Amino acid sequence: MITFEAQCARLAEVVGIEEASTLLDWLQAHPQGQLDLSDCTHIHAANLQVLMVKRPTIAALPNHDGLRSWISAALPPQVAA
Amino acid sequence: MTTLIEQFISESRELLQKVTDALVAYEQSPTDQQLLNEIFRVIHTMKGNSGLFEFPEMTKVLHAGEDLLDALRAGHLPYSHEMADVLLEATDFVVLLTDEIEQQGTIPAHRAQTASEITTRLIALNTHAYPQAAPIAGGPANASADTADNDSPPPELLAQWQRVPPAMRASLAPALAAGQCQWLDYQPEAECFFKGEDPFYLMQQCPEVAWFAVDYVQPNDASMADSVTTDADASALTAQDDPLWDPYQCGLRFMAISSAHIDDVRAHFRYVPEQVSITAMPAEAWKVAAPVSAADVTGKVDDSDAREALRAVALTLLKTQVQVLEQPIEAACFAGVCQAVATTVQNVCMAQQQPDCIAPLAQALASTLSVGEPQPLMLYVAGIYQQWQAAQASTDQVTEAPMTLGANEAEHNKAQVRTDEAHTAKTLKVDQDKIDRLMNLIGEMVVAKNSLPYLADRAENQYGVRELSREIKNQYSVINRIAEEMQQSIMQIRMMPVSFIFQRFPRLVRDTCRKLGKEVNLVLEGEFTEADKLVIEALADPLIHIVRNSLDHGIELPAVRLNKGKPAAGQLLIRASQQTDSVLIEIQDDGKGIDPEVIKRKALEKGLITEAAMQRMTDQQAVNLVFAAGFSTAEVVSDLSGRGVGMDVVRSAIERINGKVTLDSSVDQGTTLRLVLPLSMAITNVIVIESHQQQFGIPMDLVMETVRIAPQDIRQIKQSRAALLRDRIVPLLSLNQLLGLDAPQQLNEQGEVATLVVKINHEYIGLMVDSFKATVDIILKPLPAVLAGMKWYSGSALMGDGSVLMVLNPKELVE
Repeated sequence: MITFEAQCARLAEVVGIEEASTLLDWLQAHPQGQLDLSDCTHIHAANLQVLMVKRPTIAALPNHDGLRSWISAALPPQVAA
Repeated sequence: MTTLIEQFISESRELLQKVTDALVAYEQSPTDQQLLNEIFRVIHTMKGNSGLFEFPEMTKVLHAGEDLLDALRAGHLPYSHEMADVLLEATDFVVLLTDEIEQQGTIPAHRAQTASEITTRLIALNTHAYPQAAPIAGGPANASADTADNDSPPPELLAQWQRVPPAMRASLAPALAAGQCQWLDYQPEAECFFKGEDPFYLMQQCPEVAWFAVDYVQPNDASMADSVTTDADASALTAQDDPLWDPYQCGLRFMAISSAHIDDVRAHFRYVPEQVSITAMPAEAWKVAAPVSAADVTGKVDDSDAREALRAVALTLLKTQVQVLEQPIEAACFAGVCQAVATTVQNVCMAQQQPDCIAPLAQALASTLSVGEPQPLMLYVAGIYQQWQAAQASTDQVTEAPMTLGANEAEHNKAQVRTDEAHTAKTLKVDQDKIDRLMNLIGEMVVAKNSLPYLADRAENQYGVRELSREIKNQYSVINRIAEEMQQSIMQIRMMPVSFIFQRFPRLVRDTCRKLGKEVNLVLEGEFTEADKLVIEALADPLIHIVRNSLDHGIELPAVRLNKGKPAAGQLLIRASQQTDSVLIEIQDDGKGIDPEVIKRKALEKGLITEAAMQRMTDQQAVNLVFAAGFSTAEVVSDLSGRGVGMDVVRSAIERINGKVTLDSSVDQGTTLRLVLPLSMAITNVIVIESHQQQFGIPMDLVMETVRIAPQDIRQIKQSRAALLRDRIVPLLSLNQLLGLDAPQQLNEQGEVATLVVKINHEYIGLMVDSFKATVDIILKPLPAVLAGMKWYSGSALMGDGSVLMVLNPKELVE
């Protein structure tokens, strides 16, 4: 489930495959948009590749241990442009 | 095994047979769209059914087959012999899997390899749906080779190994040295999202992952995989600026090191084996790593995962400690036990990085020791246990959510199958044992019923009650009628159509012809002719042998046939028809036939006949020599036939079920084999005769007539006797003499000798006996154990009066 705010998208619980296109559209419309994954427990692989390709700034990593380690491995911190 | 699986297996067998038949038929008439639709439908059904269970190997092969058939159906691809070969092979593979599921309840892990090989071949043929199938087939993602024995690690793996942080490499060293690490390279196919797959979830669930990495490569581009370290970022960057980039084309590539057993890892990825390469990591791999400093090890290791894995162990340990404290403890050991428990719990807390627990633990231990009761310590340890367990449960719960979703779907599918079952359950499937038991019972019933006439005789002759005797006879006729009807209906149940065997022939003929380079049109007739199950089953092997013989020796190669002025394709006709009380099966080919001269010469060479016998022999007799043991005319021993176990085996197999084989052949015209088989083997009609005050049975099907011959009509020819009967000279043999009984045959009041004329191997022979009794239906039981070696008896039967009747085998007796 994704909640979009002005400059921040909050990903919570399980983010399904249908939301990948919404997420992509939002990231294209908000190149500076930040992501809050703290309440997220699983994202579908399609969302994962959206994040890997678009490389948005991650404001908060998931609290979920397993997902956090995978997200950190997939999206190593980048210097914000 | 659950009922659903049993149903699945029995249904699969039927469907698979249908597919095999239809595939062979379709090869014959590739324009038959209906047939193709039928094959597609059946494969589609089977794929759906297999999806209900955990049989991904089967589902995958069927799925690839379905895709190929779909492309054929739409006319995108032309049908070829190669396709037929692969499709038939795939069908055979599914049959094999079905067998294994039936026997073991599951599919062995190593089948996944074969499954992906067959799938790859099916995909390679499907050039319409997978235009780039061929290069992918050879790509690195497909080479799921187990290189455990390979000394040098693959360069690709070494390159990737450099990405593993030095600290991790060091911590993996012991597991690597023990050869327990698997290198996983999972590159999901581009379309995988449309198949409901979530590669990320699958990867997260992979057992015992020690290290992992995710890259964005590019969808459907396997060639990039080799140089992924340099190109991964580039791919992501290209995609980043591409406004048309499609998030639903999977371009991810996962890599991981797992310390689980290779079979477990394979099992985890068994739905996508061709997309994942699992390599046992060579022990040498870790040596390649740069030397690691102690600072690296302690400094940067993110061991939260390891802690996670240890959580379960920690919980077990805590639980055990609580259990220890719950047991009554002897006073002398009390302090020691409590101390030991406290130390263990302290170590567990340290390992789980919970230093806060240590101080309260020490307090609990102190109060336990001071009061002399284990409660304070026990309560504290139990408290930690519950706290940690709750934390564990909350993390697990989340990951289970998608699983429940899948379960609902499966439940839905099951419900659908149940409704389908209601439509199909019109025929009753009964265990064969039950029918056999019914058969045995009716056999006993027939025997018991036969005792009533004896009873009637006794009532009349011994007790002189004629009225009662007549009534018993009346009752007997009623019971007799019912028993006979019952027997027939039970035999009906056991009847099977010959199509049970015939259905294998299209495939057999096709495969054999492909192997031999011959062309044959197979014609099957009378497939619905029925015979007893035992007869049908016993017929299968001989018939297959005969068909192979015809194909191998009978029908010539197309070029040879054209030279002889015959059509290039030979014809093989297998026809079944029912005669009064037997089934006739004819196998007719229009091949080169059997040359009697060649047979005679061969038989002479092998010492089967003498020179003189050869001169006298008619062509028909010569042709029948192929039934002699150890006779084979094939010049070259092939894997099909010609090993000397030839027609003699066929003949003895057919004779064992009381059948007969005859052979007609003419050179260049072809050969016809006729098998005459009894409809049923259960009940035998015998004539009871008496010789030297003993009763014997002789099968009625051999008996031509019974005559009484006057002494003056018997001619003595040297040692033998003969008589002229119906313008035929019939040699006469005394049964007493044949059985070694030292007594002459008894004559009747007119001085005539009772003679049974039997037909053995086309010849009439008169068997002289003392007297004829009656003909009876009996259940012939073969002689047990050592007695079975006495070939001159076919078996024994129980008579209505309780006596045992020995049934003679005149054929063996006379020879």
